[in-house]
Amino acid sequence: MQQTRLSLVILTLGLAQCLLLALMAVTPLPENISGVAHAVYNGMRAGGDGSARFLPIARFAYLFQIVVLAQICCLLALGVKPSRRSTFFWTMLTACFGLSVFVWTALVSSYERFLATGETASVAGFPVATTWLVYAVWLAGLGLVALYVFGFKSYVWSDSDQKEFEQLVKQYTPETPSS
Amino acid sequence: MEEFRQEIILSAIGIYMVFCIAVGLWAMRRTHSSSDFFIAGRSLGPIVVALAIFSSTLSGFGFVGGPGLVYSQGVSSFWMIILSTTGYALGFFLVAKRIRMIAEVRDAISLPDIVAARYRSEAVRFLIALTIVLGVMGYLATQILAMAVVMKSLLSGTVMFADISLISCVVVSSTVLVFYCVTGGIIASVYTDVVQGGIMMVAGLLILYTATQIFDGGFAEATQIILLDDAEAMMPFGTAGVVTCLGWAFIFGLGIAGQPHLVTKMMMNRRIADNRTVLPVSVIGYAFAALLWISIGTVMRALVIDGQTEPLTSPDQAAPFFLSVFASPILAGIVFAGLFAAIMSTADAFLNVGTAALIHDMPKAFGAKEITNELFKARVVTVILAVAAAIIALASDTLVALLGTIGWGTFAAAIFPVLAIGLNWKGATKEGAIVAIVTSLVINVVVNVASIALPHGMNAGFLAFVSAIVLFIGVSLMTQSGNTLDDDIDRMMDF
Repeated sequence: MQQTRLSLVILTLGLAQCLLLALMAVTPLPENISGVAHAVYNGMRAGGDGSARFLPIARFAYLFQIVVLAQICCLLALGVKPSRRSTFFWTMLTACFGLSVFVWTALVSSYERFLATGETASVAGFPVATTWLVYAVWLAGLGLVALYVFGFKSYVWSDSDQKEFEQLVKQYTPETPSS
Repeated sequence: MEEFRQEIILSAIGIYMVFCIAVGLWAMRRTHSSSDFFIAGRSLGPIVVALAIFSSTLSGFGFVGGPGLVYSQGVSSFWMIILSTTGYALGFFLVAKRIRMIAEVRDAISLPDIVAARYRSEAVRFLIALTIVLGVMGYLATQILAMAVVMKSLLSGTVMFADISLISCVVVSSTVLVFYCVTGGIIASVYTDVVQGGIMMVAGLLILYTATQIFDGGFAEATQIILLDDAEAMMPFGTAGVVTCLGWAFIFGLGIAGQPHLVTKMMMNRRIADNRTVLPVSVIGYAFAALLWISIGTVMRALVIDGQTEPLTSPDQAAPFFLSVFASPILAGIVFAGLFAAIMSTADAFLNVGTAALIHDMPKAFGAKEITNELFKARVVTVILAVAAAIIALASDTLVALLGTIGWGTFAAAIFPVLAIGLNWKGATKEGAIVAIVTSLVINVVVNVASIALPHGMNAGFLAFVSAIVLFIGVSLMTQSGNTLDDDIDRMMDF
């Protein structure tokens, strides 16, 4: 029952994604939305006026990615047995979600600040907004990896699971090996 | 040393190919059954599985296409790799445990075996097998072609092989690939993957170091040059724009758990508890190897804009040009061997899942109860599949392009809901699975074949993926009556 409820949440988030994609699709945007051929260098593309192509759909895009991050957390919870989803598990998952939303918000706001001022600092080899992408988005995902590794016996596979599974294998596995 | 650059590079590739052949011969002695051939008898250790998973993720596209995309579009393609940590975590939470359990209890040797057991449906088995076969042909053809093109460009720089034809290069590279896949099956494949993974990690790190030394101001100077030319190229959505980038992040992030050549490897480990080690090692390995993608593309774009290098004839020349001009001969040799390793590790994984789909799953979907001489048939079909892919690669650009559309995005859309959600939700039905798979195939093929331009650079695979998840859950909820599970599957889904 809990799995079905979670699936319904995932479905709702999927429908929200469809709605946001539709809203983005019907918003008029300039022709350079997905880039134009570079005026000088053959084989390169250029973005041109970032404000014109990003700002009209900025809110939809921002919300879309938050819905995706929420959907990822719900999918991840779906992979954990309902009785094992402790308060600590939900707290950790919520923290990972919060961190990802924070990073995404920082990325978008840094980019919008650049579009407004035309100025950006360089941090760790990249403009600030891109630094959030290159380092922080990737690192935020490590929270979920850590949850798997450090919570493995609590949320994924315990010693008693192993014993129970061995019993199940004995019960169901045919005697003859495959050819 | 510089005057022997070509010889050093060719020697590195030659040594690597000899190694592949040796591993094939060694693995042949350990391959006694179809279970050994397809899933290594579920006997692999965690490091082997981890390196095999990540090295299969980064194909030749990662070594050639990735830097080319950064050269061409700026930061945009970073979104293809940046959600990999999240994607891997999702794959392990949702798939790794249950797919391994079902593989053992049902003696399953392929992904279609797993879904057929889960949904009690030969139709779902057939559709997944069909998706795999179509995708495999496209992937294999492009991988073989990529290997041959790189080999030809390297050999044509020598006196002895200056006039070597593309066909000869296809034959040589495919022969090595087929030899170790046929003799050693997946055992040869995963053990070469281990070396391939190691090479890819070392290559990624060394190339990053080399790239930071090109400009006096380091990487920051390179990004500043690009920023001053076209700021959008260096901003987080690159020149391709936000819609394209979010689509790529979705497909390449979540979609990891829907790639047949990756999830099949989750069936091969010795113990389920090993997954605790497999996940972090895969993530770290992938991160190191992906450094090459980001660093070469960025530096090459900056070099051209700065006037230090002529514009490339094609964006895909970014990596080969960088290696031939800026990397030391030994590093170039390692990376070119790594390039062949990346291509081969993906190609062998696809040969394996494609062969399983053809000789094991298709006949079962059409009612075959028992498949005799499965190991022998697997070896024969592996050869046929590789030859067919090589012919397609050489004979028809259109067919390669068409089959190429059934790639990562289609796999993600067709397989992720059915497998990742279906293995964790008892309410998922075969009707939901069938609708999701068919929808993803139709959207991908129709949009690509008819060249339909979706709004704002939206990707067909992205649209198919979002639609497939919604339809899978929606249709499952509407078709609950009579939805039952086999007792063993029911119990495994309670773990």
